[in-house]
Amino acid sequence: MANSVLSCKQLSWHVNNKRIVSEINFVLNKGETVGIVGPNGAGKTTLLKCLSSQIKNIDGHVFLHGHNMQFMPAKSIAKHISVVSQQESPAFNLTVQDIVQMGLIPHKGLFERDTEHDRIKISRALAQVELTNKNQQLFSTLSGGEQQRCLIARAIVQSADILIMDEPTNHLDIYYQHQILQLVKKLNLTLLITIHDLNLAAQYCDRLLIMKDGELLADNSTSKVLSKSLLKETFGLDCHIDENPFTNKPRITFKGGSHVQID
Amino acid sequence: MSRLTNQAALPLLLALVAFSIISASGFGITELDHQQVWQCMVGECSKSIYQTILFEVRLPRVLLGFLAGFGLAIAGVLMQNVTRNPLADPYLFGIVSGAGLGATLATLLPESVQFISMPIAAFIGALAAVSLVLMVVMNNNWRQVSHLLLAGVAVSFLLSSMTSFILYMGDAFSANRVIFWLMGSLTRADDKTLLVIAPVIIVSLLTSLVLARQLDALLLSDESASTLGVNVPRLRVIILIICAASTAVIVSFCGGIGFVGLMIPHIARTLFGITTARLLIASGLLGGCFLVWVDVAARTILTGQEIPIGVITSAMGSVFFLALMRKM
Amino acid sequence: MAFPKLKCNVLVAMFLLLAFSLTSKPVQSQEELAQKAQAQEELAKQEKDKELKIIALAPHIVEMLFEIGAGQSIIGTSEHSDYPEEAKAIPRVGNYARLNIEHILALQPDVIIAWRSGTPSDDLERLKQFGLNVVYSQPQHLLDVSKEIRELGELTGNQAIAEQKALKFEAQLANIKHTYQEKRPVSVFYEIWAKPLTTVARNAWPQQQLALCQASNPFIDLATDYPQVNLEQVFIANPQVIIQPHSSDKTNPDAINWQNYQQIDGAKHRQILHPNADKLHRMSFRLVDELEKLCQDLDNSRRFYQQMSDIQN
Repeated sequence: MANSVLSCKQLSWHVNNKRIVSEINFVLNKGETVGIVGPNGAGKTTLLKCLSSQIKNIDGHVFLHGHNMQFMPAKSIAKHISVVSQQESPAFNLTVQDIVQMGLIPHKGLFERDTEHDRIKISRALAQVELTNKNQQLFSTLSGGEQQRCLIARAIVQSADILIMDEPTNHLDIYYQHQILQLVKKLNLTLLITIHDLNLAAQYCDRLLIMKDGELLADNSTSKVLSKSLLKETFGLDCHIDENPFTNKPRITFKGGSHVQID
Repeated sequence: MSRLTNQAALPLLLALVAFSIISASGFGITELDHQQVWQCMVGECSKSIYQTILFEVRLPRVLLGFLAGFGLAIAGVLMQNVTRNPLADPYLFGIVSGAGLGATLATLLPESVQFISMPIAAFIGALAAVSLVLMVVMNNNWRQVSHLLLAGVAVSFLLSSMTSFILYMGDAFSANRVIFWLMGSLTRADDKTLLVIAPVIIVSLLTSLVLARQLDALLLSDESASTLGVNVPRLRVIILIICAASTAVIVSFCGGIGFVGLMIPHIARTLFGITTARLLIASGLLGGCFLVWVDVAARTILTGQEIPIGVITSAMGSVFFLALMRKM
Repeated sequence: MAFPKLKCNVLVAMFLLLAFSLTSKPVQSQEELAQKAQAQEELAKQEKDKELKIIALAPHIVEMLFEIGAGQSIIGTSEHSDYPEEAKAIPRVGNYARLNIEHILALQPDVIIAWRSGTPSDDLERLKQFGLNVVYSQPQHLLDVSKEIRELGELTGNQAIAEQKALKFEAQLANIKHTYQEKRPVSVFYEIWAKPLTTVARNAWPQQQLALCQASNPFIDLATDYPQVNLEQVFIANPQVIIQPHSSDKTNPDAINWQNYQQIDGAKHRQILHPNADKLHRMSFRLVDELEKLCQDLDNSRRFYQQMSDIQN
């Protein structure tokens, strides 16, 4: 229990009598990388929102470092959890610097100004994501990978110990997919990531949760979760699992083809 | 697009403000020109009536122009940032039509109390319009920020139609008075007016500066702001109330001066950057200077009469607006 | 025991002080008042010797001032003050929407004559705050014109000529009333504006004139003084005469061409009158001559219809 940084008990959320997330229980331990996989509409993003207090009218409980999150002020939550969402499209011409600077918000009182220490923190974060020389560039002109890195730099400045990412590898080419995941792994944070690509999940996650129709189907170490039967139950497809020759992690190949039905 | 640094921008803007206020005091009736004004400032006016004209009519008017421009511009910044809509403007709340309805109802009151009650009635009308819009939007949980603007447009039309009906049923001359009042003017400027408007604008500015960091968070998305620990709905209501109060006060004394709140923040954004704190200050100072000069134009372009100030700002603003849309 | 005594002494002292101040002050201020009054009288005399400086803020006020011989006292006026010819040279200090406060202050007028419904009241309040003397003109009824002529005479010191003009105006009005009051009413439609079609009713200025000419207005009971009506309503009312006032300097391109509506008696029989709007609508001296003419024209129409019905019978 001492290791638990974020956990939920009987977590449910429904809208218009329809359950989107149903009685979820799990524990996120310090330092681990946990992936959430599952088909579209399984409730993955909603679960992340419940866990990061963006959705508040939940049933059940979420505990952050042992405290019931419902009674925590938003600012204290933001000091522990940072979120990088799928895609941001700012209305105005925000620069990289402007966005990274936002990471300071939870740490500042109403009358506090930026200090020299803050400036150092920001430039270090920019260096870590290799955007130092693009700090005055407009966010909207960055490539998809650079935008993700910019948001990660903001999370670094936010200096939370938990980083929640929703589909960080979407829209990215293979090089950037690996770049982003390697980058966040290096930050030594507790990571909770939703991810579609099972091979990436196999390569970078210590533990996997499978969600389907709002329920938690499995919660186990990566190698145990990635089994033929469980994947067939989740995605409705037959697959073949062998070993990735470079990483020795599981490699999943779906059969696809004739039994994919379009109805 | 190169943005000016803090060190360069602030002195530049302050110099512009000083130049505008001093220089604009020299425009008016031809006998009291820059030279005479200078004489009044450094020593004795050449005619005692000049003393009255300069200090009780002209300077209050220039200052009112600056304050009104300042207030409208910061309200524009706040509206645009809080809705993330570059075309938002405090007037889209229906503030002007609400104030117009209030002013129209005031014309039905007896003549003797009208001078006092027109601004007050306009203020009440403006606040009523805003409350109506906010009520509609809050009831649907802010599902979409654009609803705010749409609700504002609907309320505007509703209140305008009520105004038109009352004006139509009423006396032709009071209709004229309200219509001209809606076109905007700074002639109401005196010490009392300044003493009412200045505190409202100063409080609005300080409150929004204090909240500037949280407003910055809102620039990316509501979700992003809430993960940074910002209470988004509460912040939005506070800001909208600030906008509504300051715009309503300005409108009730100066009538409808459109497009300042829309145009100035755009110019300031390209020159001085988009984070809230510096944008607020830059837009405010720029907007103040802008309105001071528009008012100079309003009272000097035609000899013997004034052009309503709102006519000029709307003409400039709508051309600007169209140019902006072409680029977007 | 010393304490109440002390208190008593203090009270007495205070009372004495109060009494002293009460009795001594009026003595002083009476002298002061006398001096002040004298000074004021002298000032007033000086001012009377000087030319009175007037700002007249409506065309009808300017006309009346010229009529009673005080035109040269006007140092500022509002737009549209175009009669008589000399009035066009007077500096303009505002219009019905806005006054130029700086300009008016710089002119330092002795009195401002404003039209209550046609001058911006907030600007007048401002001018009053600067200590300027504002008097109002507000003619509501035709006879108010002569009343105001007398008041202006009083104000400018031209009482004799004003009285003479006022009497003449009243005599002319009385004459018109006397001439037509027994005649049979002739129904009219008064087109004050074409688009949207607007007529007169209730207590509108032209309505009072129609009444004097014994012209009946089918729309007299509508809700406002200047109501908008539908052309259909005019068809139903079928007026015998159509009055379409023209401004002397320009014709209104929007004006309805009544010849297109032969269903209306007034159009069919070409009983369409075009009185001079500048004279008729302005609340001043000139209206009475134009009104005489209008009543005369209406009487011609009346006779026309009389003859027509005589022939038919």
